[in-house]
Amino acid sequence: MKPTLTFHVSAKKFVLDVFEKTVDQEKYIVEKDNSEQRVLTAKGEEIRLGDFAGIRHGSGIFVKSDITSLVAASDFIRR
Amino acid sequence: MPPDVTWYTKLWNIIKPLLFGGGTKIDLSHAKNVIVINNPQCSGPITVSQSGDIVTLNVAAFPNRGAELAPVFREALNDPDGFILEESAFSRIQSIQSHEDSAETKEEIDFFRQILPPADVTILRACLYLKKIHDENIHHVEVARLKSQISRLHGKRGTNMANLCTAGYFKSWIRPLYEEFSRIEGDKTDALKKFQKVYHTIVEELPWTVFAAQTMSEYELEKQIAYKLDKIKSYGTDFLNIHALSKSNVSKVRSVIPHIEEQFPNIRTSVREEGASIIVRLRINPDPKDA
Repeated sequence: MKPTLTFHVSAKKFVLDVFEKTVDQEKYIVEKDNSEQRVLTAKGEEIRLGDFAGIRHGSGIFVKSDITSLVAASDFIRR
Repeated sequence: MPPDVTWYTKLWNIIKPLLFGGGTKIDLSHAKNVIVINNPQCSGPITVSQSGDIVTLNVAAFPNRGAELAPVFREALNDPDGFILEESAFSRIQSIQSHEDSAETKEEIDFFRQILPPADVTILRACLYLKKIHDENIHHVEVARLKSQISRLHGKRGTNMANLCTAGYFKSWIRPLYEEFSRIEGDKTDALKKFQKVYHTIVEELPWTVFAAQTMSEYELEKQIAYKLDKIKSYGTDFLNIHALSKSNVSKVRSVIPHIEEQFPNIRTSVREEGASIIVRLRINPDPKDA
């Protein structure tokens, strides 16, 4: 059985580190090797650490924690 | 290791030696959820729930602060449906999925998917979920939080859609409106075009509803009701519904209505109260036989 992978809010920065991301001075999530490059959600929005809810498929699709973003993400998460 | 070994088999291979020194046999094949935490106060790197379905990994207690886990987690996300989500976000997604799996909600979403602009379908789905929480009538803070997220992200349109949806207007008014256009027009494209024009006015201007908000003063509420009553005929309707939820909003509506009745002597007022909510319907020029 394939388990689901989740993290507690205390491990947010660890998860970002795993995917080679960090946070800039304005608290936006950026590439570790290029702090000018902010990561984007599927809708093309930049994302702050406080709004970070996870990553899906690959390391490129960032998910925000608001209800509309979670509704959109729910289409891609297996039931 | 053969290339087809799954990411979680690799994960079990990393963590097994750390479980009681690797001497105790623990069956990880029942694990349904791996939770990553970062708690320096807790010394154990791995905890397995008694039933064996939850494995908690405390990266703060791993020998290299969890660095050895990184390649496995990256691999987990290579699956087309792979993800790593914050616990509360994952629970929320499961709750959304369970809500949308119900036959009634599924049918409603499928219906609106055919007639609303695509961007509004996602907002509506969020609003239907908000309505579910709202209707459970136990999580008032959560209702306010979700509603404020929808408003913040989707502005006035989002706020209006949330208000219309929680008050049941999508089902009781907007859907029948399309069905009526569809019946009259015959041609689906024409019906959809006409419907979307009216729908746009509804979600942008709320022509036949006023929702009393916490931030609204009595004066502002009265002004908004009077403004909409003045315009109501141009929207092709003869009524205005005033909605209020919570004691303070209900009392605001109560004090404003007598002033409105003075300004508009030709309206008939009907009131429906339920718990801490009130709906006041103001009907202009009622037919004498209905009076």
